[in-house]
Amino acid sequence: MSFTRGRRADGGADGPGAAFEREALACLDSLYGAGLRLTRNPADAEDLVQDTYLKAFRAAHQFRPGTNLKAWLFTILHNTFLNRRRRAGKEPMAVEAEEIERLASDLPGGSPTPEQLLLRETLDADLQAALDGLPDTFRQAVWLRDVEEFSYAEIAAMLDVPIGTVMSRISRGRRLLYERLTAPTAQ
Amino acid sequence: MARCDDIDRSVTPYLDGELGEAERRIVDTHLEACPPCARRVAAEGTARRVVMVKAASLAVAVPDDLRRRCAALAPARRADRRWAAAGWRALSLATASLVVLGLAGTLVYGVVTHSPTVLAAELTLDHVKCFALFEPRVAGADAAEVARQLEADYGWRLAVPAGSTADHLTLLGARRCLSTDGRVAHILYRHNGQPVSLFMVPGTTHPESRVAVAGHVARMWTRGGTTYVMVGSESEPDLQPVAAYFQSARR
Repeated sequence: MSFTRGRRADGGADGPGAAFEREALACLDSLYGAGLRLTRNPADAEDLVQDTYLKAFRAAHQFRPGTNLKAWLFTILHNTFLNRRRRAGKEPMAVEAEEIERLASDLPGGSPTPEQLLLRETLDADLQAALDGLPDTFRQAVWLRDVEEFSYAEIAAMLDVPIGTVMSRISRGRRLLYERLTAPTAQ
Repeated sequence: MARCDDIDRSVTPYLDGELGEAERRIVDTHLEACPPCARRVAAEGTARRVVMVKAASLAVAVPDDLRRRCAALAPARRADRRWAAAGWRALSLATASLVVLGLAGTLVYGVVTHSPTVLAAELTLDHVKCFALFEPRVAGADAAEVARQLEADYGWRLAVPAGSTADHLTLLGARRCLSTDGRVAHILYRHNGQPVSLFMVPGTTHPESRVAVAGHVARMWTRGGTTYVMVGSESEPDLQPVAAYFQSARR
């Protein structure tokens, strides 16, 4: 996961174009994973990722060597997803998130479930279901930070929102996720 | 002591190790004295750890077909493949003119004067290099299409031997090799899965010969004013039927 973080695509012996393409294609697993979490549907995720690569290769001249190629590709993935969503006539993610952010409540009182217990008892399928059940913007923020390990600044640039919003979404997402993982139905 | 609202805004960077030392100490002090905030931090921290620890198990294998489709979108890779079916579009007009003039017998001096050994060595190098660097991914190219492209681009009327199922021979494509000054047509095949090249040097004659070069054998013959050189690394008995097929295809 860490190999592409901050990795630079500066070119190589076989020329900058081929090096760029190789580095870009090395991010395929990450982009597909993020695409699946965004779309929650393998066929849509495949379309989204393929479209992302098509745009990235066409816009390769706009990529600034020395910057994070993976973050650049994630930006294209995110924007492509938003455009598709808009074309499909759905609400933009930001509006939906703002409403839910206002509604997100504090955690109930009582003793927290110990981390070791939750780690041991959470099935992969439960975690996936809990993640997929999060509002889109929260799920995306948690994924970008905790799975892809992007910095707040990188996520903010990617999603075109202030850093404070990024932190708020991550925070809400994690707390909602905790609630769902510890709720009786998830056990 | 800091208010809970202020602390709440710092919880996420606190957990992610993004706070400075002074801010971190303020949060620590608050959490020791405020159980509700401590619970929130514990809950968020636990969710964070669960996702991070289990991230690998959430990974889904990328479908092979998607991997192939994305790789096919890369312009450099597409360029590699293009010549396989289309021939030598990349050759500049100037070079093409040079070749046409060469066919008129005025400019092929460099190739004509090569000794069979030097020519065989040069073409064996091309054979190894082209298969290592440029072997097309598309097998089963159409011989007529390759020949048509050669004529369209260079005015060379060369009958390109097709692949032959009976001889376990597959035509891959054609390209121009720079180490022979771009004057030689290089047709790539696979025979029993092994690389085999047929070079055509129009407007030249060489006596029939056989030259062993660096683990390869180059067979040379001339028909109708064109020299043919077949290069492969298989054994003599294995390559003999291929040479016979090429020679019969030429008559």
